Amino acid sequence: MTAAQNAGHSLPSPFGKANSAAGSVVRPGVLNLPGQSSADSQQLSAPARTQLQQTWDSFRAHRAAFIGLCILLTMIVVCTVGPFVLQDPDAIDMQVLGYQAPSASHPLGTDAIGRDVLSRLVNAGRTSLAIGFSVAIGAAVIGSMVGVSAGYFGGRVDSGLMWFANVMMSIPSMPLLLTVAVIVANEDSKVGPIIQKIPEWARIALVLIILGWMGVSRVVRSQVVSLRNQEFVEAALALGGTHKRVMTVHILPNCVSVLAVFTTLAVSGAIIAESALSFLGFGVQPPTATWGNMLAEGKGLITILQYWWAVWFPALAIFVTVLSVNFVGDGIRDALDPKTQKK
Amino acid sequence: MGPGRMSISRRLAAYALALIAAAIMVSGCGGSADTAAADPDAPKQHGGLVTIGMDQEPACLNEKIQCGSMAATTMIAASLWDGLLDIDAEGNYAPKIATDVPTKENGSVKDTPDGGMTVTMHLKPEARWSDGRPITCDDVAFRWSTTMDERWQVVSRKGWELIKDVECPDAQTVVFVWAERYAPYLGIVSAAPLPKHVLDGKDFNKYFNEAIPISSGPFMLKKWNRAVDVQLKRNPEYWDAGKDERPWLDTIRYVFVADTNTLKIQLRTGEVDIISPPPDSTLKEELEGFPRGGYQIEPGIYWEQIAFNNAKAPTNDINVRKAIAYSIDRDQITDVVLKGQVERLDSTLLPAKKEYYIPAWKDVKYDTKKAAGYLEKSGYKRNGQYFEKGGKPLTVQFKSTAGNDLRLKVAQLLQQRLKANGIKMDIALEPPNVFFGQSTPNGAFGMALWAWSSGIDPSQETMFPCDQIPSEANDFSGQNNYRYCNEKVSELIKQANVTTDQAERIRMTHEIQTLMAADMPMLPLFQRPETLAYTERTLGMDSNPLGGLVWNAADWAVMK
Amino acid sequence: MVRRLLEAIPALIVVSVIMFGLLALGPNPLDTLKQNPNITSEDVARLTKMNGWDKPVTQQYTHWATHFVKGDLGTSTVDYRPAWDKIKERLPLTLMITGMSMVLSLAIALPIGAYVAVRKYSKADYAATLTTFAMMASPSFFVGLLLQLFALKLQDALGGTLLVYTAGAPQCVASSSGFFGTVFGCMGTPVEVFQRLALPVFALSILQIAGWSRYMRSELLGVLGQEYVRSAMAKGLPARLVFMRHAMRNALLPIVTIVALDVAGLFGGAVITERVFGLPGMGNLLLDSLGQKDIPVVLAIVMIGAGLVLFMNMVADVLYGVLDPRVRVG
Repeated sequence: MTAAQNAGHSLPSPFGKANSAAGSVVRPGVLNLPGQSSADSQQLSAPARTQLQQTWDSFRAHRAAFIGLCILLTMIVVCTVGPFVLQDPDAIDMQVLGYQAPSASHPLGTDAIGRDVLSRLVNAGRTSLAIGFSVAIGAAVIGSMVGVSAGYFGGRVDSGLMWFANVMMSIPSMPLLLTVAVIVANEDSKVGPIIQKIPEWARIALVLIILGWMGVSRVVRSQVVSLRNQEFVEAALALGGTHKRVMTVHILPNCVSVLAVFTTLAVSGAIIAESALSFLGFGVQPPTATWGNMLAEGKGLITILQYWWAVWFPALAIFVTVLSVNFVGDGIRDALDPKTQKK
Repeated sequence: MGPGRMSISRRLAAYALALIAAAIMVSGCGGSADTAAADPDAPKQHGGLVTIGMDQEPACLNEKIQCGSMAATTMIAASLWDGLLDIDAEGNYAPKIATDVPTKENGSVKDTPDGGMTVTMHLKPEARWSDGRPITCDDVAFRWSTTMDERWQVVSRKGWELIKDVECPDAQTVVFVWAERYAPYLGIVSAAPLPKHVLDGKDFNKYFNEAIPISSGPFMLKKWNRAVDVQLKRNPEYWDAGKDERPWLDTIRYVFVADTNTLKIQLRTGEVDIISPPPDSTLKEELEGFPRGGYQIEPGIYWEQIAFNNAKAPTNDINVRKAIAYSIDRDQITDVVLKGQVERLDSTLLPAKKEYYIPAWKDVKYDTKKAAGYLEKSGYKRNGQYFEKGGKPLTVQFKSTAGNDLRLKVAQLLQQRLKANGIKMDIALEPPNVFFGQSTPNGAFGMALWAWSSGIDPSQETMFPCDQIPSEANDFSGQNNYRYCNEKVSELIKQANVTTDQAERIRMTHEIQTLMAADMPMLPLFQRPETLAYTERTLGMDSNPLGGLVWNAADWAVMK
Repeated sequence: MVRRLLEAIPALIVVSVIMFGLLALGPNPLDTLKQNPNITSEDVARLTKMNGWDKPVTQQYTHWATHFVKGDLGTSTVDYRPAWDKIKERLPLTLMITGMSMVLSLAIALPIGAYVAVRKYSKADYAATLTTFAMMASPSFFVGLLLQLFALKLQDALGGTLLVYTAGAPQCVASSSGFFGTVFGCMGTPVEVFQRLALPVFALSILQIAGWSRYMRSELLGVLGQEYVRSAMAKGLPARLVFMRHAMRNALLPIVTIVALDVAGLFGGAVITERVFGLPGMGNLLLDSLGQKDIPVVLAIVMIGAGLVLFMNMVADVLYGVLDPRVRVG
């Protein structure tokens, strides 16, 4: 293994460019933390609630993260409930039939053919957030499975799996993403008949999961390696625990903090990646709205300057959501890391 | 309104705009060096360079073989090769290398007793290749023999295969001998000659693909920098230079920038001089907002239409087709998706075809009562939102190509209007290769939206006759995806294609349009507008959809 | 070094197997070709034979791999040109913008990261944090559009003088053949290179600037908290010397690795940047080829991209050894 790959554990980079930067908040120091702070076997019996309480308190102290969380939750609620309350996002206002500035009947204006921007924005939010969260969860599940197996069993399993993850990461993500997107988008693909049964947003999510698990697997692995030789694991094994049980009961819960940070950041990565795919024409196809394709539809000069509501609202939605998610991730990290807490 | 008239008014508007823009510039920023632009009537000067921004790069430079079938190649080739005939600003054939346009009236076209015909043309004696050799009948005959040579991957041999021989009584006289009478003969005899002295014995599949050492037009190829640009230089030996010593320009550069939005920005800043952006509802408004430059918008040669599947329920019922047609507000569609840049189209021919064209569909207008009447005639009853028959709501499957913003907008408008009139329309958008490769030839649609492109000839022989329905029998080569079959129409189309009598052909073409409008196998929507936008330093721009963007490149010039 | 080169080979094989497998699941190039009315059945037969499409996938792979090893990257199904010919026209430009972006990002990110690390929790630190988070939250294509808009408004403000170009489209006036033709034959004088590439390179750098400055900050914070730095200070060594000799040096070590690992992402970002700014690089070729389902070219581009990323990792290893005497490269 090369030095680069050894050091690579510090870089969860699920979507290459889109998230590598965001990944920077996961530091090696953080990863080793639970190992340092809970090295004693008290970890086994410590009431989980107190720790959670502590974490929550310190998270709340991170003002930006707390505000971010509030915004994010509002966003989720609005985008979940909104579609049931608001009008059909595809409905065209026959009185308008074109761009119209925000007004009482269309609070965020209408788009090029007279559809309500607010309604589309909220529906798009549902799709975009669904993509974001399912990618984050999917990548976390696959990544932690690979990471736990690698870290726990060590040896050849470890080097094999991690080598594979490294190889996957060496493929420039965007070309791979586009290639897979073309395959799943084409009905004349050989896998077309199966793919067609999956809703379009889920196809995009699937693509992002396939390419997004490597980062988390490395993070989880290094976490597991540090836990593997802890006394409490050995104790559990000595007491007759099976590998499966030890992994799920003792090791995995200790990775939760790392996973929490990663998962939040993966949400923002997926939302940004979706918008990039939409811009290049490989994302969710209209009329189904996503923030990405709404933004891509209005990329013209005249829309940016004159019919600003059709572009800037989706842009703002992406910006605010991703910013909030990143701050939440930052907050979780800080909350779990006593070193960075302010006194 | 014909494109000629329209273009004049639009040209005037653009003109006025350029003047106003120039005036603003002068008053706004007096110190700028660009203020010389104030006078568009400034005498043209020789020299200079214009940059044309294109969103695709040719795969090869020979537009006559398959790798050159892209629009980009056609455009670049247009200023390299002069044809025997040209298409003028009004969209008519005009003499170029030939002295006259051959017609029956002027005696150049003669029917022969064996059922064929001859077309005789005379070449201008001054016509020269760029190497100084005269363009002769041998070169014209060479074009025909090259096209018919099985070794070469020629784009199309349609029409050419009906020619028996090309005779050369003398160097300046060409006689095309046709085995059959062929009404669209002008499309064939107008073609550009090929330089026999250069090409003879060469591999036509390869020889002109990367570099072209000769030309008969105002420009010649200078260099093709792959992935970057194609540069053309002035042909100093241009035979049609005239007293102005055309062409004015030294260089034309075609640059390749894939994103059309970026091209618009580049035009705005003057990094490119000429673009032809795809239609868009805000395009006109956007170009009007550009402070330095002008634009012309004209109805183009691509026309969008709603196809009905005439062989599949429910659209095999003429009443259903008519009900749908009267539920579509075509004026509203052009208004919304193109902001009135073009008007609705009322025929399968373009108004530019003048004497051939009649607005056969002009009475098909949005009419809820009429639509309901047709449906009731066929036994449909309105039950709540939708009309029903046998307990099932009337549902039509609509297909079109994915990724086309214009069509998506049309589809959504249609859906809303049909819904209001009690017809349910399901939208399915497919990748173009699936849509054109499978769905339309196999008739897997109820309604479909696509565009045809019209050449200068009014022939429609592959689109509507019964025997052109794609099938095993014609190797799926027919284009009658409508599965429309009216024996009388089929016969008329066939007749109109083989008569050399123009008056007769006009009469038959009128009848075809009237009969088809009554059958309603399809509904014409609009011609896609063609936009020519340019910076103020470029002079001599004149939009001509039929002739192509660079048809008058010899007259272009730039202000110094 | 040789050993590391050899280690990259199995990785490349895996990449090729994955890509080949994926593309085999995709649209059949034969069907795509047959739908093209401009391609004759002879062409189809010829291309089928050339690419071995009539054989099972495993044989297709060995066919492709043996040619690849011999330096034949396949033939385009669109214009029948060798894939390498198409790539080599565009590779230099992509290398140029990614390289320039890397330098620019480091030049901006490292000082900022170091500055805010030393002034932890100062106003500057908060401002930098907020800015970097905002940079990460902006879709890069939209930022590109806004940059173009900026260039345009700047032109208007300057009364028509175009300071930076809105698109990087080169202009070949001189003869521009050869591998570096596009870069050196078409980009012009250094001033013109700046005018053409300023916006694209900046757009491409935004995420790196944000990410790397965050890295630099936390790396340096980690190092500054270490025992040996504190003891060095305690010994009375000048703070500046301690900072430069110990802290910076140790903080830079992991940066080398991270920069190398971000190269994959940088190539990905270049796809978007090249599209927005009309640059004739590999990214635009990839998009065109994907649109036309030109499978051999797509495969070749991905292989070259992966090879470059692996190579950059190796370079990082070597650099790591130079910077850190404890690590010796074998």
